[in-house]
Amino acid sequence: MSARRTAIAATLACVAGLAVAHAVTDGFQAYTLESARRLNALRSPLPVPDLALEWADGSRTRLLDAPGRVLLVDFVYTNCATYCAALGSTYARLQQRLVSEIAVGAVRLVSVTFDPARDGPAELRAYRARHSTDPSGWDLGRPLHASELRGGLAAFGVVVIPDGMGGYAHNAAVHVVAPEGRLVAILDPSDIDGIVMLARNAIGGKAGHVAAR
Amino acid sequence: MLRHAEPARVKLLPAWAWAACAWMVLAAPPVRATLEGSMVFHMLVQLPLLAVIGYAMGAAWIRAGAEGASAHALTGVQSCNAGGVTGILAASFVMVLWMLPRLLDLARLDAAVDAVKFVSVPAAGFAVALSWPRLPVIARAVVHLEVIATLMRFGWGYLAAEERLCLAYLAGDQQRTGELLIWLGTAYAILVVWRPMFGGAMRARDTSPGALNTP
Repeated sequence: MSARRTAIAATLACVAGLAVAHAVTDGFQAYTLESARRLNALRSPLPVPDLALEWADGSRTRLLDAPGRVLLVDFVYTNCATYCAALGSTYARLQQRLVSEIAVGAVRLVSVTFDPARDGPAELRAYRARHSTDPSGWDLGRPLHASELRGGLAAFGVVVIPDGMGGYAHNAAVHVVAPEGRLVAILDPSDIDGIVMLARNAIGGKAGHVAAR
Repeated sequence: MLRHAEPARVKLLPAWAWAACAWMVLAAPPVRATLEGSMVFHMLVQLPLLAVIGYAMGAAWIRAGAEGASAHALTGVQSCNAGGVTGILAASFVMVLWMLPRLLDLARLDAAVDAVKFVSVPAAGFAVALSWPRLPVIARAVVHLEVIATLMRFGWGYLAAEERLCLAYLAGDQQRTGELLIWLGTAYAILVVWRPMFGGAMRARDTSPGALNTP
């Protein structure tokens, strides 16, 4: 009796264990939070919050105020020596690669600072100037409300932690927001070709057919 | 004639109550925040402590002996656990899952997931306490091997990873965790083989009269 009950219980334990493992790793595909959020963006795009931003030119509007545009959003802070420098050079190159799309207003590059206390419009302009001679198409903004910033970071899946040296460590990436306001893809800053391709796909509303990476 | 009176042993609390107190201390927000603030403390201090708390409770239950309802329940549970198989399997799944980067992150960032951890990890320790005495020697050896292999696998994975796997922890933290996991695996391996390899020989030397007394 005991052996049979044990066999059944042990089998149940294995099945349950595997089921839980399958569920928490998105089918054994995502063992890290970063890969999980990238997978989720591809599988089920969610609307992004409409952050109220003070832009580098001093104006104040909301993130999604100009609908019908593909937004390439990243989260930076201007004192960053590492990830944000890579993002800065990525955005400069995106400005060049997507120059025609930017010119007709189909694509807009947006950098949002998650350190609004230290990064005002002047610091943001300086950050852009460090990487690009041409400000067109690349807007930088600082969130006006701390609570909205937290909600925004959570919605995009950005985790910011102090790095013990007065700066921050964060999962730097380029977020592709489709014209209808949904986050359709998250890409590595080094994947310029991928970002360009996805941005162009998203313009035509073909975001649903984005190839999963 | 001097009579040595037995020092009165006042048991403040039964063992399981100590374990419950320890659990509540660990669950207190400031303690939780401190331990989960670093990957090393989270994985190598908090998780083992939670498992040990569960183990202590399980061991206390077994020691509680033949007392009606509790003993009945114990026999009922153990009837599904012949040879300790079920308990060890369930505990293995729980412990491996909580060492994954994604779940470490979620436990740190999401209080609901943390609550699940605070229940499931002691439950795993509890299951080990119920199962370990029933495991045959060969199965124990297999479990030891698996524990060592898992510690090494995770340790190497965290040490050699090129990027930060946990969003809530820094890269240096991740490297230290990987190193410590490997050290832990090594220490565990040494502990496990020490007595079978060296313990018996020393006992033989001690008991043989007039033999070479090598210190």
